Amino acid sequence: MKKKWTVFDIVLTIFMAFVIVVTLYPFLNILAISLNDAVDTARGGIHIWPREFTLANYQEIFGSNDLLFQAFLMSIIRTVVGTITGIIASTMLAYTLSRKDFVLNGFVGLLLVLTMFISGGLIPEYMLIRNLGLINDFSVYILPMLLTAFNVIVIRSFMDNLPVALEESAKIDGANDFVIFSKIIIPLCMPVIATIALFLAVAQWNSWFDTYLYARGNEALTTLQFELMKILDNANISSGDINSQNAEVIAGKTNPQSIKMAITIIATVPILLVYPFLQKYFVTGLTLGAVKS
Amino acid sequence: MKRKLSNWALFLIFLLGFFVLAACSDSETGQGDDQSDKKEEPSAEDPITLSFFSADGTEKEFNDPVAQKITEETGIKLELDYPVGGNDEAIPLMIASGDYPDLIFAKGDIGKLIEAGGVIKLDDLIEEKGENLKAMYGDQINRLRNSIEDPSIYTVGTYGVENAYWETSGTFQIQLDVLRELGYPEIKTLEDFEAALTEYYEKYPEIDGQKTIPLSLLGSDWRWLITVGDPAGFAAGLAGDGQWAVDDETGEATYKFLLPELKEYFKWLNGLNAKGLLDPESFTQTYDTYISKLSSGRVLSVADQNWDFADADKALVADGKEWRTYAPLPVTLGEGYKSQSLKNYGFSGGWGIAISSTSEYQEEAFEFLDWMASEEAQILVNWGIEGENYDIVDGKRVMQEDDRERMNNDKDYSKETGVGYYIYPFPQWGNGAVDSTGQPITPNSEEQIIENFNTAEKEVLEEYEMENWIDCFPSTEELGISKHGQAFNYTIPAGSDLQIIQQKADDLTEQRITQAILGDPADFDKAWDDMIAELEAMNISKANEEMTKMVQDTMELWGTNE
Amino acid sequence: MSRENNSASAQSNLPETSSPVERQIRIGSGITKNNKKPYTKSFWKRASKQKALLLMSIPFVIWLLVFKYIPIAGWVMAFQDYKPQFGFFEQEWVGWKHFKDLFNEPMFYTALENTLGMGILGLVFGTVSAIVFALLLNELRFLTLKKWTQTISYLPHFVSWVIVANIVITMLSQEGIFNNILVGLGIIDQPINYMAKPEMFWGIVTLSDVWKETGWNAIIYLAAMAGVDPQLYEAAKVDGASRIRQMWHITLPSIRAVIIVLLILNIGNLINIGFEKQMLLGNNIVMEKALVIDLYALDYGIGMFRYSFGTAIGIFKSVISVILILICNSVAKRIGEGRVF
Repeated sequence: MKKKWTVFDIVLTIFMAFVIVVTLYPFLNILAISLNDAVDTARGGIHIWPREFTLANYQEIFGSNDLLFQAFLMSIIRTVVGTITGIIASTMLAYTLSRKDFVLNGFVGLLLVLTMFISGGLIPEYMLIRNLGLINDFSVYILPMLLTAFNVIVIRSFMDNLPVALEESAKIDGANDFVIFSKIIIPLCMPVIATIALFLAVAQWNSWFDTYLYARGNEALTTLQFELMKILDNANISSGDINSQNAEVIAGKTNPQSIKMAITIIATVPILLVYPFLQKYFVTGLTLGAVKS
Repeated sequence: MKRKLSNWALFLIFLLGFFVLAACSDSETGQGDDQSDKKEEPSAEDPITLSFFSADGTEKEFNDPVAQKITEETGIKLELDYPVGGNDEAIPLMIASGDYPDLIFAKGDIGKLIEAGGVIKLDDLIEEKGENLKAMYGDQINRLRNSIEDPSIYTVGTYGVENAYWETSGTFQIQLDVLRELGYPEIKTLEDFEAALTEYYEKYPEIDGQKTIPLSLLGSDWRWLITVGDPAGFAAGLAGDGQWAVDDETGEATYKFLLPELKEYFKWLNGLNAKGLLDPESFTQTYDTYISKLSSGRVLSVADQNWDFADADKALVADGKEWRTYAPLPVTLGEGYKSQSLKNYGFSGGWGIAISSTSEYQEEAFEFLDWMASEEAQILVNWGIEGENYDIVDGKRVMQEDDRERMNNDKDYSKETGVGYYIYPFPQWGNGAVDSTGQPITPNSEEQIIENFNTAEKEVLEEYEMENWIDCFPSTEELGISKHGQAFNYTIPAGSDLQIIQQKADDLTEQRITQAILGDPADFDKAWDDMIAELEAMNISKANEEMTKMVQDTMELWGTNE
Repeated sequence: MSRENNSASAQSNLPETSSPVERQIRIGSGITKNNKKPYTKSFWKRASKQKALLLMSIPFVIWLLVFKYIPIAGWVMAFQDYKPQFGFFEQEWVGWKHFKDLFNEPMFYTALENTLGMGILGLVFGTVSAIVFALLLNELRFLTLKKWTQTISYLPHFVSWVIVANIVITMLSQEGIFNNILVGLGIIDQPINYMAKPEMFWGIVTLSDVWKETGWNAIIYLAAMAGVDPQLYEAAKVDGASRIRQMWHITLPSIRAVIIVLLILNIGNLINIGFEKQMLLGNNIVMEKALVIDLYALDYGIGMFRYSFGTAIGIFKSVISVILILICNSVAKRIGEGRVF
């Protein structure tokens, strides 16, 4: 069914092309600097194209650390496992919360929402993880990140919006809640599940602080982000304790801009590939059509 | 699509299986390690591993040639740990959990470890078997002591003992071309400095087609202290005490921005700004922009430390723009002030490496630290391995040509070979110290510094009839040795009034001074007076008192107060 | 108890919307109403019929209690002078001292004002830009472009603030592209140093944030739009509704629940805007507009090892957040616009 292009379509297309240019710029800038000679980069003025092309920055990163490949695998594993467990946990809990007749609905809902705004701080959390014996154990990547209140609430609000006639008829057919959840609700929720999967995967992929805090004693558990962080070591300086002597040491630790940019590219490109894969779940009408057939 | 999905599922199952296998095998090997960690005499074949937390550490395995040699001699391997990503909660977590590494270099946080009982006193160990440490510190050993109330020694190391000063770390610096163009004038005061900038700027309003910038600062982040705050103190002839002006005789400490001399400096900057001589982006630009401006050769002068713009210097030399690199100048407010760039602060003590109270290997750790202070060890960490990094020619150590070359130009040299890597923060001799044969212990020498000057620098020095830039600065001997060390190096108690007032005062002065510099010269005096009033309102005199007490206590502890 | 009453009555009071199908969906969701037995029925009786649901939620309740609520015990620190070498209950108690210190500090009020100011601006522009972007993207005919825009627009989310701030400051510098264009067009005759204008700082932060996060934030709305029944659009087309009318009358109402929920959550987070962008974009000239609570907490709390003081700030923030979210949630329920819990 071919439709005529209206002025609206043309303006919109131009606008979106503009959005692409504007949002692509920082990334191209990083890519260009990462492929540019480190000394030359100091002169500034590099935009989207390297001036003195080189792969030396990447070589330096891969050359400086022989754990990178292993760390990369661990990052994939924690991302995959963390995403799957996270999805299962969030959808289950979200479903129970979407059932307004559920006896614990209000209590659990409040319990969950409050966790978004309260936190005990680093020391108590560290002590908890330590007392649970999770230090240097793979589960430290999965358990503490199992649920995020935000994700659960997003899924639940999506579920709230689903047409419920199907659910009712299944109930009449004698299906129990678990069957309704897995056979009816889950397929209907694919767009939101894809979204949350993306959020979870990105969170898992990007986290390095938990590796540092809880797993640096076990080399097998090291992750890509953590290894890159160690190379980057962008000595995060708060103005308080600077003086000429320690500042010199800190300055000596910082890497040329080109290396930082190359690290950014290595750290982000793998996770960027996830989105296009999930994109097909965002097609309008897919879910309802599937249910109806 | 169906097919694709099932492939994906298969992949996941595979990965899951992989993970389960990996996890199982891990936990077994992990336990195996614990078993073998039985206490034994250290030896080269079966070395013991000491965990070492260094607040200034970087990612590094203890496996370079120098490290191997250290293990061979001491039977000790180090496992380095450090706060990744600038994390500053490492020490509190250590204390809360009680999981201490064997050796800890905590810098200013050492006070908390002492309070928590996390580190041991070293006095008896030094007395019993610290021959090398005793020899190294000699009469400076008092400077390692903790405090008047608890004068024990908890740490050793960090800074060198016996330093010589052959270069300034940085101060006011002007482009070599400005000096050449103006016929090599004598520049000693801010007035001279400004006159030189003005004259050159009028002659050359553009350099290589871009607008000339007479003076650029970097006051947009923590470097404000380096390029704005510190130079003000240097111009007023203050020694490097951070935010403090300390009278080395009486120990009287004053928050330095209260002083009228500093006002005079900033008033000068304010004037420069009004005359269009100060880069208007000095307080907003990013570090990268600053470096790229310097690299383009159009910035005539800086007030910065050498390490802070080393990248720009490299780029300039690489471009053949040697005449656009910078010469350090002993600029002060006027004749009555002395540039303190070559000041000898003595051994600063304070920070150092401590041994934890939970370590199984306290004795071994101490023996290791003591060995690091020995002449043999100092030569090893400074020069590397004989025959590989240096040779003995006519009874003198001479660095091999390629090592010398790499040492100057390759930033990975010390990481790869270990040469120079294990000096800081371990106990170390300074660059002025000599060994038992009278040779310098460190490979640095004044000749080498002079040799490394670029062609333009050499030409300018010749014109001034000097060998080295330091020749125009007041000499180290003239300035005398500091009796109190450096005030910024003191451990200020957490949560004390001094700490909080200083942080507030620093935040305030950075803002107010910046605004005053950029404001109308007619408003400067009022802006300054308002700032002083605000400082007084936050009870800065109390901070002065507490700091004065710390300085005086330190001098008493060190025995330098008579 | 009254919660369910509210939501039930809210549903019957739904405002009339233009689309018949939309209404049908809403009425359909009245399942809870039918299921709902009188509240007099005992808790245990109802619970016994919901074994599957209980089984699906209790493990996670336990998880929440362990991982999120046990560490809250750390809040006692705010009433102590915490020293890490002792356990949480072996400390010296100081009562409300740290809170008093906090409320007597003029800087804290500056920080609070800036935090709320930038929080509100960020909330308004962040939400609007993400929704508008998602709506427009949804309307894009040119499918390849749609796919690419979607993928590319979320790239800046992965670029750290350090790098984004660098790019922003460079673009806004006196020799930067922004000034070049404006001077070139004759709109201004002298380059302006934007980063030195305190009155512009909130705006710069907000715009940078919009630039960085719009594509990412739009993903949720896109997912919600994917759930809209295409038959609604078909029906509207038959009625001859324009594209903009369709957006307004079908797409937006369909994702309203998601919008409201996110809005409520974000209002709760008004005070939790972090400090990274303010610290990286800010400088000493604009600091009076850039100081935010989290930066204050870092510099004067944990950065100085004042754990107790830092915790007191954390508790203050939590209290504000919880109050905000409780208010918003009850308002939303009262006007029948969804709920968070």
